[in-house]
Parts: sequence; structure tokens; C-alpha cells
Amino acid sequence: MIHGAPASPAAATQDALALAALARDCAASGSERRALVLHLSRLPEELREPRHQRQLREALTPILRPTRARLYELPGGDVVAVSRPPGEHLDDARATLRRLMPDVPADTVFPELRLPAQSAALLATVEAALGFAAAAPAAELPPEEVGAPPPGRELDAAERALASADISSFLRVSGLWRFAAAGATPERVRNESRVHLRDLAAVLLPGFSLAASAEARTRFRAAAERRLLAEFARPPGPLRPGAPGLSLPLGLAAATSPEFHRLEATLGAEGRKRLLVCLDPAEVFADPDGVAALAAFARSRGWSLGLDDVDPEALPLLRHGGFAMLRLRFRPALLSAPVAARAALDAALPADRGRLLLTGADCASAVGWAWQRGVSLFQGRMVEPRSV
Amino acid sequence: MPPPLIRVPVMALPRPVARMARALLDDAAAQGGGSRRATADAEELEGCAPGPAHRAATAIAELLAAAGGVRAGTALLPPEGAAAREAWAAALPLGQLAALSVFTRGDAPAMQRLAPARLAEPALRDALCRRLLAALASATDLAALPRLRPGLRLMLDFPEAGLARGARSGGAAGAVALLPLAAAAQPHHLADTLARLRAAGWSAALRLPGPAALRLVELARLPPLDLLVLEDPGEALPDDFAPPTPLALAGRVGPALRARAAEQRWFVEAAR
Repeated sequence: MIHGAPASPAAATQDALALAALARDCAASGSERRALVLHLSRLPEELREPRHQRQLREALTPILRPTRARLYELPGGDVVAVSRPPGEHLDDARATLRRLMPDVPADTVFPELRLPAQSAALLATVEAALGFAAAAPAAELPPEEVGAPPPGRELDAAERALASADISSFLRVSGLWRFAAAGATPERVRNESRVHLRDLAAVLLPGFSLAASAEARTRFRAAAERRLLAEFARPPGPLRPGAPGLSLPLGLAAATSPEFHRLEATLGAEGRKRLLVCLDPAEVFADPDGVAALAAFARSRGWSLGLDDVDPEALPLLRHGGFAMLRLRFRPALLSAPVAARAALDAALPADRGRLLLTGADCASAVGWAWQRGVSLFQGRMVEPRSV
Repeated sequence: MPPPLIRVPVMALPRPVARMARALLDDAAAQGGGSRRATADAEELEGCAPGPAHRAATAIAELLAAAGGVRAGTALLPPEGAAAREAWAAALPLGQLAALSVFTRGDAPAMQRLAPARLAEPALRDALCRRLLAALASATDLAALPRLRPGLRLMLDFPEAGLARGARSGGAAGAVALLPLAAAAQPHHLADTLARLRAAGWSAALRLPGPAALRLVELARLPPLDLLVLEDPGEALPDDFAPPTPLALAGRVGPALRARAAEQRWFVEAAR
């Protein structure tokens, strides 16, 4: 659009993919670039008439000519101009846009990004243009509705049923992957088995909400996980020779249960070295003595203890040095977090990035965000399908 | 009767260690037969086959050695089943459910705390907190609660979610709402809870359930609070410990730490 007619859909897709590759390369190599994103699709209707487009073109063409900036025209009509630093002409272009459209919020409609620091935000823009951003949330589970908590007798009945139920259809098995660079093949470093509590509760406690009672949730979770552990403790067990190690997200009650002790005894010393148990931070905060006892026991027995589902905002609060693995939950809001929050989170990341795993890595921007921080362990749709 | 193969003095052990030791005995009984039996001060495993019993004994020895530094404790033990616990919590007389204690600063009484009874399993604590708050709002139940001391600032233990949305303080201006540390695992929700409490006239505090919490939390990174309450520190406070917020020591506080608290002008629970 800037230099003539809008790009064809195929050309725009090509441009989007090239821009995504550039963002990833900058994140991986640390190369600096400046980018001016022109979200023309976000302009109000009254500014999208042909005469406005003409005015824009006339104003920006001399500033953004190809020798000064590389232009990427994205599907949907947005344009990204990328330049090596210092790239003052991008400031000139932005100033021109502000002059032409004083009522348009420039930070939203014409944001400026600096690579590699904001590679993830640029990748998010590309994904949105390609339609991935709209597709990703659709696959997420809707938030659990908070209804009535299950009465004690219902919970007792569910626990009795769980003591002998086959819960294999409620088991979610996924991989933890090492994915270090664009173009590399992800390597499966652990298998993870987790009981899908919400689906299981929908069958055993229909009409009630575990979210309404912390105690009910803890009890139900413990019963379900103890059932899983009892199954795992039977031959042939969850670990095969030569197969990746096992990650088990467990509640504290299950991790201190007879079924867990049976499993870890069954694994033997070699198997225990390949076992990682991850606890929720809320449980760690609720029972630090219990966790300290479990951590000491884990050390003496040779298996590892980690933290599951760490809220990025909670990471700076945690003294996590004693945990072998931190599973950090990705949130799209990380890409646009204020500078102070970003700095606090970055400072709280473990120096040994091998202890950090990003969960919810369902889009390229999540992977890009992690790569910028030297994180190469992932769980999520972005890595999972590549090797299965 | 053959002599017991394993005997674990669980009553002298910290709660989490005792729980894990029981679990190991149960597992051995499931694997090698026999049964676990509770005596006045211990748990015994008898009649178990030597292999599982030996494995359990080894694991328990490692557990006790590893947890040597963990504190011991006593608490109310609720029944096992969910329905039984629900009935137990609902029927617990308010006089047993609630405990009033006084905190001093220097030698002078400075604050009073109305808290639920100590529980062997903390999962029920939220339910007891809710019952306690409901009792405070009921003219009938209020009389059954320990009598508050007039003129002393009140601190109340709250469930993790804080006040129900829209709830009012009922004249609690200046009173301290004490939230569990677990609320900090979701900082966004905690910020909402603190904002709601303050809008309703409460001051806000977080309850650290034991000195082990100090090894897990960056206190300086917590949101702004009016008070931190540390339970059962014994003497286990590092020499260089400098809380970013006024501190109250509750439960078991060793004599040396009491002396230090007096110097530091920390609040200390006098008796419960």
C-alpha cells in the first residue's frame, strides 16, 4: 500500500513469514533492529477512505523508501517497516503520522518495537495477521464455572469410586521438549502424565464445582492422583529403559501418600534419578514445612522436586533455588508487560535456564519470548506436534 | 503376638513427617501384609513380610534423618471422611473453634487475634475461618466466642479469598485481616483481595505458616502490607532477618527470639 497497490494475499503471507523469520533470527543472534508497525486495519472507518490512503502514501514514501527501511505488508493490510539502528527516519515517519492523524492513539496504532528485546511482540503481530492469534484462544479451556461445592457425602462417594476406577481415559500424557533454535528439531526430554481433574470431576461430581472449595479440590485431586500412582506402581511401570524421564505434577497429599512411596520404591535408585515431581506454588506456600520435609526426603532418595504452573507474576516472590525445575506459565500479557514488570520477572528467572520450562507454548510468540531469555525447554502445541 | 517389626514415634514428629511415615507403613502393609496399629505415642507395623518391612524401615530412617531440623507440633485432628469432616467442622463448638490471644510490643498489650483452632490438616482452615467470620456477624454466636478485649486492635484470620465480594467490614475500621501466604501464589487475585479489604476499611496482613516459609518467599517482593505474622518461629529466625513490614511472632517463640523481638519492637503473641 505504501508504495502502490496493496500486496496480494500470497505476497502478504510471504512477507509475514519473512518477518517472523527475521524476528526469530534477531532473538537468537541478538541483532538489533527497529520496527515501526502500522496497524492500518485499526484506523477508524472515517480514516480509511482512498484519499486518506493517498495522503499516507505521499507522506511516508520518501521516508520509508526501500534503501532506508525494509517494508513488510501483512495479510489484513498492516505494514511493518524494519530498519537497522539508529533508524531515525522511523521517528520521522511516526511524527508524520501523528501530524496527519492527531486523534489516533499512536502507541496502539503505530507502535514502535526494538528487536531483539521486543521480538515476541513482533511475532505476536505477525501471528495475529496470519490469523493464528484468533485460533489459539479457541483451543483453550474456558474458565471453570464456580457453582456449588460438592457436599461431603458426594465427595466421599467420588473418592470411593476413584479407589478402584480406571482413570486411563482421563490421563493426559504430553512431552516436555528442548527446542533451542528455529529450524532445529525439538527433542523430547521428559514425558508428563497428569490427571485431567475437570473432566474427571464432570463425571464423578456432576453439577458441582471443585473451584468453589479448596478443600474439596485438594481431596478430589489427591484421590485421583493416588489412583494414578497406584497404577504406575504396577509392572511394567511408567519408565522404560532408554525412554525419557517422567514428570509428575502432583498435589502434596499425593506426593506424601503410600501410593507414591510404593512407586518411588518400585522405580529403584536409577529410576528415581529420572523422576521429577512438581508441586503447585500455592501448596508450597500453604505448607512450607511439609514441602521442606518432602524436599529433604527427595534429596535423600535421589528424585527431583520442581514447581508446577508458576504464575509469572509470582516468580519474583519465590525463592526457588531448592527446586530442580520451574514450570512457568506463558501468558500473552507477558509480551506487553510494563518495563518494570518485565525487568522484575527477568531478574527472578533462575540463572541456570536449564531449570526453567515454559508451559502453554502454543504460539510462536511464546517461543520467541522464551528464546529471548535463553529458555529452551517447552511444553505446548508449538513444539508438541513436530515430533509426534 | 510377634514383636512389631517397625515402630515409629509419630507423636514426637512434625506433622508432615509423621504423615509420610504413616504412608510408608501403610504401603509396607499393603505390600507385605500385616497392619499398622496406633499406640499412645507411636505407630507400629506388625505382621509384615520382611522385604517390604525392610524397605519401609530404610525409607523411614532416611525420612527421619532428612527431616531432622523440622519442628514438631500438636493440633486438632479432624476425622477422615469428607462428610464426617464437614459435620465435625460445623459442629465444633465455637469455644473450641476460636482462640483469642494477645500480642505484646515491649511489655504492653498491643493487639489481639481471634483465630481458628490449630488443625493437623490445614485444608480445613479456610472452612473454619469462614465459620468464625460468620459467627462474628451473628448476635447469637457472638456470645459463644471468646470475649474481645476493648481498646485492643483486632486481628482476624481470613480465608484465602478474603471477604466475599461486596461484604462490608461492619465497623472493623483499623482491624487487621490476616490472609494465608498461599494467597500470594496468584498475585493478581491477591491484589484484588487486598484492594477489596482496604476499601472495606481493613488493614491487611499475610500469615507465614512457619519459618520454612522464609526460605521460600522473597518478603520484599510481597505487595504492600500492614503486618506480617510468622507462626511458630521457635528460635529459627536468621540473625540478619530484617522484615520489610512490621512483624508479629505467633505460636511457639523461643526465649532468645522473644528478647530480640523486644529490642526490635516486633509484636509477640503472649499466650493462646
